[in-house]
Amino acid sequence: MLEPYLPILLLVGITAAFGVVNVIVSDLLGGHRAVVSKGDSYECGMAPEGSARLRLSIHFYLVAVLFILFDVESVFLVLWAVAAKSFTAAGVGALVFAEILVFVGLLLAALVYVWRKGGLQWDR
Amino acid sequence: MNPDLIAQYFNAECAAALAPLVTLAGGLLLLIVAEWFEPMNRLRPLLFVGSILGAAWAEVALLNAPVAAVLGGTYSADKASALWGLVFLASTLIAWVHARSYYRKSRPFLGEHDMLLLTAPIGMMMMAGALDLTVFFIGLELLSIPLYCLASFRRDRSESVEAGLKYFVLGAFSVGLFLYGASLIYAATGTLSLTALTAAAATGFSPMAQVGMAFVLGSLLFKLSVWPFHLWVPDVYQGAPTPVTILMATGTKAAALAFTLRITGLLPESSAGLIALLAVLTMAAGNLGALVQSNLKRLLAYSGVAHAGTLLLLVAAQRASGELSYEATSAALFYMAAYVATAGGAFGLLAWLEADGEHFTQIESLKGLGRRRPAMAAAMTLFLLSLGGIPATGGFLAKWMVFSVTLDAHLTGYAIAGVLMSVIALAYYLRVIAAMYMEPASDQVAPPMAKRTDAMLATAFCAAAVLVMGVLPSVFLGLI
Repeated sequence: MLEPYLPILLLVGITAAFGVVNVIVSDLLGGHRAVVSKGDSYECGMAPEGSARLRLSIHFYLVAVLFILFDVESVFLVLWAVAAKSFTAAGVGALVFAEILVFVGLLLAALVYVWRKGGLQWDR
Repeated sequence: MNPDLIAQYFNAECAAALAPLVTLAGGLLLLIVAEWFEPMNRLRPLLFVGSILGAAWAEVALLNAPVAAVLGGTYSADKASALWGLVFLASTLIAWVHARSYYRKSRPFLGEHDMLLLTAPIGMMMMAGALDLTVFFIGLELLSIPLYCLASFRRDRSESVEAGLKYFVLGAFSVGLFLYGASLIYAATGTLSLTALTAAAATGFSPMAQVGMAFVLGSLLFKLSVWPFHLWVPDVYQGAPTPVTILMATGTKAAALAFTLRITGLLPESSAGLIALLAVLTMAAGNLGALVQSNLKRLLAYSGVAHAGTLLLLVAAQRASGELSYEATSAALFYMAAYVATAGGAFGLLAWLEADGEHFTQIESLKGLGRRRPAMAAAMTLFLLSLGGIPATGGFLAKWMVFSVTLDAHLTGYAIAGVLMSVIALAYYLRVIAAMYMEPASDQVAPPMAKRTDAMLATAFCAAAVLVMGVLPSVFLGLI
């Protein structure tokens, strides 16, 4: 019953062997010279400089959150646009269109609020 | 998709049922618009009170013409949910009025504060009216997320930020618990509708569904602040701005209780004794914790835990007696209405005191308040006596109704334990009253208190409500 899965088992075995054998072979054949620079942290060849704890501007978060909000909400518009013709065919096109207008109006109110509050201003 | 199908869901009944929610949401939108330009900010109080009153009017209309279940049986606007809605609105309004004098006028984001405060009752109403676990979940999030922000609203104070973070982490955990439980229930039964689940529970839940119910109940007990899920309460209530604490202590508790009472039918019959035991342990944890507090805000937080225990007794009684009884519902509504007035009034007075300086919420600094501020001390005494359940206050009748329902359900031992716990509770309430009247003023001299008409009116309203509920309960019971 499990026969069709045999190639997968073989593949898992070969993959595991490839990793293990390579590590063992390089350990056996490679030299072992301890040098100070080998103990350094790897930073693309450069000596690490400064603290990793940088303070990022809050603006990045603000813009990211606003982007996510309006991006996710615009997905609803796509769904409506795809189904708009079938709504009209079913005779509820005007109703759904009015609903979408209300939805866009809500988004607009929020956008004006964000803009007036200075949420879109980068250099503050 | 055809017009008939739409009409089946969105009809006049649905409009009536959703009117309170839509009113609040509309008010919320107008609050956002009022932030567009500086001069429009002055409309904020009008908009806030207007939407609360509009929603209250819609709830009263529902009270006269209740709607059973709308939106495909996912939301119910029956008489009980309409009354719960009024309780939530009263709690929000009290919190808002005290917030007006609590924050300095120069504090930034006061408009956002009002928006968040107005979002919370929408969530509470959805929780109280939910007939579907998904609807309840959305209500829970609509309530919780604004409260996380509001708890840390005083960003300049580390206690407030700590309260917000603690509430958020533990709240997120409890929401996760709820979702896990709901997914187990769905896996076992294939439905999230309470009506269908009640039918399935009648024939017996599978072990997987029972585990799911246990998780769901656990998350509800967290919001109700029941032992052993009560540890966050003192820190969060103390650290959060006091007006926000009013909403957390009264509104959230009422919303969680309303839904817990709705789902008792899904719990196994043998769980009544366990819930009653949890209730007594919660009362013990709350009362013993309150005995050793030196800060009045913390003391009231522990007293809130003890009250949650008393309310849980009601849940146990309802599980023991089987179906949703009129007595249990009316006892829960009356208890929470009295608690909104009492705790709202007491925390409101604390907000008033705290606005002058953090240390004025210490019991130590209340010494001599009876001579310094007679009216304020009298109001505080009234609220504390009502919390303790002394006759002629709303708190007494509320406790009496809960214990009589418990006795009717033959949970006699637990009812006696509950009454004994109430006696212990009196010890710490009386200690505060004694400090106010019988001890000389401490050397910390309070500054002359600014006249705050809003806070005074709210306190007078709460005091009047407590007295009327105690002396003329028929005014309130006639509604139920």
